[in-house]
Amino acid sequence: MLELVFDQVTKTFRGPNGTTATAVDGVSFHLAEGESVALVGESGSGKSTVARLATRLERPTAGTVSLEGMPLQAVADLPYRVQMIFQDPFSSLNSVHTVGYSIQRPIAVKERISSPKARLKACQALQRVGLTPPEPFMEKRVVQLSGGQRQRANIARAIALSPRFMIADEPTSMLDVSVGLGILNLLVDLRAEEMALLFITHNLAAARYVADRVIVLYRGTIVESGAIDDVIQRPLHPYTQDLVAATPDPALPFVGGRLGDPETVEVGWCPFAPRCTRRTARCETPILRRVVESGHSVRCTLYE
Amino acid sequence: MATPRAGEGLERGETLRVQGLDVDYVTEEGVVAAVRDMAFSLRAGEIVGIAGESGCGKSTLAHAVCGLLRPPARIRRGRVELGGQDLVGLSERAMRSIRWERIAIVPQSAMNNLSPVLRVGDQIADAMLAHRPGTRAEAREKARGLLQMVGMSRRHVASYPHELSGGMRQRAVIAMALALNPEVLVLDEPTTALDVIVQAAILGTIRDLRDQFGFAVLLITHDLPLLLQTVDRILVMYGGGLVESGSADGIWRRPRHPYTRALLGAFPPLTGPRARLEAIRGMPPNLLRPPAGCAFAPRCPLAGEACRRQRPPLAVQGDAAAACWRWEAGEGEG
Repeated sequence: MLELVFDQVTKTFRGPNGTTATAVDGVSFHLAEGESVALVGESGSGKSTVARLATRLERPTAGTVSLEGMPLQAVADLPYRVQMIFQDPFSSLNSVHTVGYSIQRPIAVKERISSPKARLKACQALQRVGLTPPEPFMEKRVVQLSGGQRQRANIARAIALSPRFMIADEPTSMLDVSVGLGILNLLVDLRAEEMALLFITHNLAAARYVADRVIVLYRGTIVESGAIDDVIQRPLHPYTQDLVAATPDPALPFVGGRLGDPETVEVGWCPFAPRCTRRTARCETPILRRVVESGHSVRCTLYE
Repeated sequence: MATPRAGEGLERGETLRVQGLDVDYVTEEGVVAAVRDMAFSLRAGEIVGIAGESGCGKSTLAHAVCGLLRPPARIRRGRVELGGQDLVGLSERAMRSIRWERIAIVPQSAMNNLSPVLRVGDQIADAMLAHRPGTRAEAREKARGLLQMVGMSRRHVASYPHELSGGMRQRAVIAMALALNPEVLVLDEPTTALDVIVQAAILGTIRDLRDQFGFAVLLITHDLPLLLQTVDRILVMYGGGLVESGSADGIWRRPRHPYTRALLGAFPPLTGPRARLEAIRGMPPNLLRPPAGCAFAPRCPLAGEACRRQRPPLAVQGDAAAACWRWEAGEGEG
């Protein structure tokens, strides 16, 4: 089984004067071929670091990320197998080159084919993402495209190499709702072509639209994971409960979010403890992930 | 607190009234019709949300209401009445005694525009001292109270902006806007860059303070589900104009305008059936050359000949209104 696996992955960044910040702390999960998983969390939860670890833009400080049983560092053709779509469509294509060049160049390098053949494949990729007819788009530079068109061009670049795994890091958060929905629909369609998707978002409703399974990340650790409707309908972790309650849903009455920004986290404690209304002394030694029922797991002393 | 000054024609409890407002941006390529024929009113203690996508005129309207438009923007016609007094055409000097004192705005990304070199408390104190006589010590003490009111700690008066999270900085700018006890608070995308839990907490705080002090709130956001859950009334803008208004509940249960329906349908739901949603086809209108008829007609599934020829008037039905020639025809397909 082709899988992208995180095994006890930790990533610590070093700051000035010997300070360190652990962005990802002992994260384990897997993404199987053809699967669609959402990684949900707030700013600073480590979502983007996970994305960068999955594409080898960062190396883990501890633990391993592996693809089909092989550590990522040893995978020679990683960019052909795992691709990423970035959050900011305005800065993720080189504005010096035409859209066509940005897409066809990697194809020519990968497949060792002539430019005309690579060009044909680039056109097909543009067509696939809805930039039709593709020829005029090939000649444009990114500054001539709208935000939605740029993100489509980014996706075309990513799928042109036919990767089996796609990491999408908040691909719609800088776009208008309707434009963003077009991108979400595109991701749903691409995923139907047996491409596994790791969809990173802060928006639980968007996660539900795209993914089947959800992983909830809080301050670098996975606090809950499971089938997305299970997690939304029966959130177990106090953080997930707050997250579900705070996500706007016109069908439900407004529940004001609770105050309290995370300030200091005591070393070793459950990272949510400073904000948690149900904390006890037992939160000092957080438990490992506990499977509550098939596929639904949580990391909280309430479920010991 | 909303005492109508001149009071002419103001309905009971009305504090802000906008009538026939047109705003242009005069550019080298021509005149951009950013806001057209905008009309609405705000009652004391009411939270009204303005929804719409980028470029529909939401922020331009907010700036116009607060007398903050600068060239190339200009008000072509219309009135912005605060307590019966028309603010359009007032000198900057006269406007200064109204802005912040009676109508306060938290502009988009205001939380990133606090001065990095001054303590938060001093920035709030400066704002107060610019408008009211008093000592710095008194102003700082008032700032402590304001921070506490918006859910921060009193000790945050001594904090620098970089020491605070985004949510805390946003609370601080809201505290600053409320410092002089305004009648109207305008919030332009106040929670857009924040996490949902922080967003819910801030909106909860605004609702509580509204209950306590009775000011009116104009809340601008692209997030229609958020408005549906948190405000009393909603105005939906498209292409610079008002296409629909109504109670939040009414718009949720019975959206009339095809644009409102399409916009509602573009937000994936958190609960309920997981069906494929369709994005609104086409692009928003180019306001340099606005379409002759309904601005939404080129993208509208219901549009007919009349829609392309003539701009529909706002048809009022009770407390709901929609500017559409054919909304009744579309209801069955809701």
